[in-house]
Amino acid sequence: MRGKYLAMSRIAFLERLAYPGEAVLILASAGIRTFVAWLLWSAILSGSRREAGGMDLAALVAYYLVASILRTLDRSEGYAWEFAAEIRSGSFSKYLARPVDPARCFLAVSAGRGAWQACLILVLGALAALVLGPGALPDPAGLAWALPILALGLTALALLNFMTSLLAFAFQDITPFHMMKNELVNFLSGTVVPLAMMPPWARAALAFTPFPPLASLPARLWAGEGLAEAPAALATLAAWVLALALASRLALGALSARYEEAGS
Amino acid sequence: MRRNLRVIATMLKLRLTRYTADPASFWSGFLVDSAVFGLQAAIFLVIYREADSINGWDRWRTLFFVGTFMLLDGIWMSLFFFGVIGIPDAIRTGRLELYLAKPADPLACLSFEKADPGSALVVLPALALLAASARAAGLRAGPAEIGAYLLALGLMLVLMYDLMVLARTLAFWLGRTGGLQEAEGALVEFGFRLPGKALRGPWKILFRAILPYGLIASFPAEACFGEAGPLTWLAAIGTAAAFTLLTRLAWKAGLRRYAGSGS
Repeated sequence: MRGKYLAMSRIAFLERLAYPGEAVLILASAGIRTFVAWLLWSAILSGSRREAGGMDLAALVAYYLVASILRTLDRSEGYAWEFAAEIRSGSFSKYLARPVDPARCFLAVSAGRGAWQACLILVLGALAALVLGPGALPDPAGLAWALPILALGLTALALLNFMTSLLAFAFQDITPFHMMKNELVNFLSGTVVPLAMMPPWARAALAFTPFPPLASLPARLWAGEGLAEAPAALATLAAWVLALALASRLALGALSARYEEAGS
Repeated sequence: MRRNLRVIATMLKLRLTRYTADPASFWSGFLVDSAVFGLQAAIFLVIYREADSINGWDRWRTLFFVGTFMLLDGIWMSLFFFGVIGIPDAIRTGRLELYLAKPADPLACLSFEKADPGSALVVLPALALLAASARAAGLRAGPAEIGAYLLALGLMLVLMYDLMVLARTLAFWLGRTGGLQEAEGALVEFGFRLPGKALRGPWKILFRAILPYGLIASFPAEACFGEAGPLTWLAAIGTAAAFTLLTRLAWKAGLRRYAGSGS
């Protein structure tokens, strides 16, 4: 039963090998985001201020680098476009004609592509540790918490992206919804501005959402901070994954009734 | 040229007709873009909790810069954005052949076939943000500043079109351009996440001439604030002209390489 989804993940992983340059460019985009943050914050902190959100320029750049690289692990965002195109073009029928669950197929392909990206990040991390020394390595206790948090966070996000792609059953183009969701995820995960700079009430509210574990929390755990928040974050995420899995099943049931095969 | 314009006008009309049958898609572009830039304004408000100014730009001038990007975004989303992002797919699947057979410029047809009139409404909240931030910043723009602003906007629209097409023309050589588009997305973000005032030294040359994403919203804002001198204007015009030429040459070279389906 599980073998077919593992096979899909493996194929998605191997398919990435055919386009090695693409993964490098994806990592380059994380580098660009970090670079933009460095330019912005070095302009801001060049005056009388030396710190922002409790971080100096070096800590801010390290935060942005880790957060941006970790965000590239999510490959479900790109796959949602392909899945939506399958619905619009009529190729979605392949999921109906085979004994597979579309949501699990989506998760399997996203996981396979994400695993390839994770391998590249590991290589990059090893190179960074060789060049920069042990200082570039993550805090071991923080890493032990960050890995399951990231895995659950990415699953929650993949389910959210799956539901976004299902909107193709009802709308000709999912681009606006997908773009808005991506912007919200980037903002609420702390990829564009560290959550430490937000007002306390906003941080307290975000602790109940699945977004900080996508970038902000793992970036802090990497530096050995936020260990006390990790257990609660893990429990919150597990609840979100269950809720989103149920919601995606309901959404698929409700929206797939609109499917009319080719030219739908 | 006249024939191309006629074909583009017909495509816009067809697109608008199509939207009357799908009103949800018509409004979604407007609602989502307004939310995205509202979010960007919120990001700068969070940043200004920790900052007094960005090289002399206070929060209101920075919000004017966000409003400028929003205005440009509303225009290009309504005209060519959705068409241009489909170029790699047209090349990869062989759909480009259909456009080569049409009695008009294939690039123009591809670019404007998916015009999104609903996105044009984004111009309204953008103008509101521009007016509110200009008022809060105490900006007194006369006809000369407004004229300079409009001229700079037009120039940056041309430049943005060139940059978008150039990045996607690489699909003729690379096949798959997902990673490239992600990197381009990060550079476009650069255009509205980083006010041009934050750029100094070699970075200024890099992001205002070589990868001119830093010019897109900053230059019109600088023109309106009276901060753009003759040299800045000359550099912006030169950059737009150079990228227009480069894009055209790259497109023609790509077409020579194109071998139909599965290219």
